[in-house]
Amino acid sequence: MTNHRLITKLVDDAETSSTDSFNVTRSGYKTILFLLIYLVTTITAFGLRDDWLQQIHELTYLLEMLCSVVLIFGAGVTAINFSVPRKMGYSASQLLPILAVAMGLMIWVLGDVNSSVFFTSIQTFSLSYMSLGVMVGALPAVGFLFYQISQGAPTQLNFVGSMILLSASATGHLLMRTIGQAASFSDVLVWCYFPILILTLLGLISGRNFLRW
Amino acid sequence: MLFSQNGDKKSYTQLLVSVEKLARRYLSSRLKISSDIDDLTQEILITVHNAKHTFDATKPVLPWLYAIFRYRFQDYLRTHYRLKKHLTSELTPNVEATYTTDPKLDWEYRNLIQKLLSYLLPKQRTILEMLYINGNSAQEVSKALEISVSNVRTTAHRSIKLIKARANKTND
Repeated sequence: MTNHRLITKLVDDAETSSTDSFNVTRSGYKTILFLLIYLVTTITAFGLRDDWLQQIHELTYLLEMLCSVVLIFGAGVTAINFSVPRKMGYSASQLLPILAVAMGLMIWVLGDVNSSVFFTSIQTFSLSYMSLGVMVGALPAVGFLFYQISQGAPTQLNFVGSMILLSASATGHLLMRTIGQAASFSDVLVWCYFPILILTLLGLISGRNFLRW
Repeated sequence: MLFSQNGDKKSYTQLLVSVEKLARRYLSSRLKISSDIDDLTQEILITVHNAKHTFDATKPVLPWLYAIFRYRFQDYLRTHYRLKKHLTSELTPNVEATYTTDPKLDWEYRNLIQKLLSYLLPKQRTILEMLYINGNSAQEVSKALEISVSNVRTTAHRSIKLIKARANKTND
């Protein structure tokens, strides 16, 4: 098919089919609203952990929650911003994965985690339900973000994939830490925090396969 | 772009013609095989058509367009290296370079090509001739032979591999 014929065909197609324009700002607001409603509904349904008021006054827990909130909304909005063709450039959103790593280091340092308790936590497989909780909590956010982005036309597929899973896994992490209790920060690091890194990495690797258009 | 988004047929045609020119200029500085440039230009046109609803009229159009060019070009490179086309492409310029100005050499090259092509099945031979001797694009070949584009590319890839193996065997 020559290019001229293809152009004629595309023009005819544009005339017969109509598509709503994709507004990034509107989608961004929708995403923030969805994530807020989802978090509030889930926490209301399952209830806050018994010692939540006491925990929130602890610096490590407070910083962990703040980091999670920044990651949830920052990565969610970034994924939506990159759901249209655009150059990567120098974007502040590239700092989000660094913040995710910094969050882990902060839990390690402020939570008094050392290598011996860390390895004990790794060997306690009975705590794997926490990782499962993070993943289950992340599922609705993943579904919503994928749906929103599929309405657009992303060109930075790997980055968008990683941002979707970073936002969703941070949502799962926040829910797990607000609803459930953990014995030590070492358990939190291994079974609640590492899923964030693993899922983000998974998004970075497989984003291209799921977001191709 | 704004007019074409609002369904203005004339503006949209003009836009696609301009996009085609820009895409050709972008690709010709990066690719040498003309059939690949044709294929990729068509893919870019289809991508622009599918993504036109994502263009924000308050922002400049060129960064949006070049993001699409880059995306499709990277996609092409990924497929190119995955299929190891860069290994067989050494053969392609030789086929194209057979048309020399020296009649004696030209005759020898033509004979060699015919000999190598005779090792292939009729379907494989037809596809290779259409793609590399007649200079048709993969889309044109697929339409003419009523097979899928991916089938055309795979057959061409395998045929070149076969010819290469045969040529190496003859040299040994």
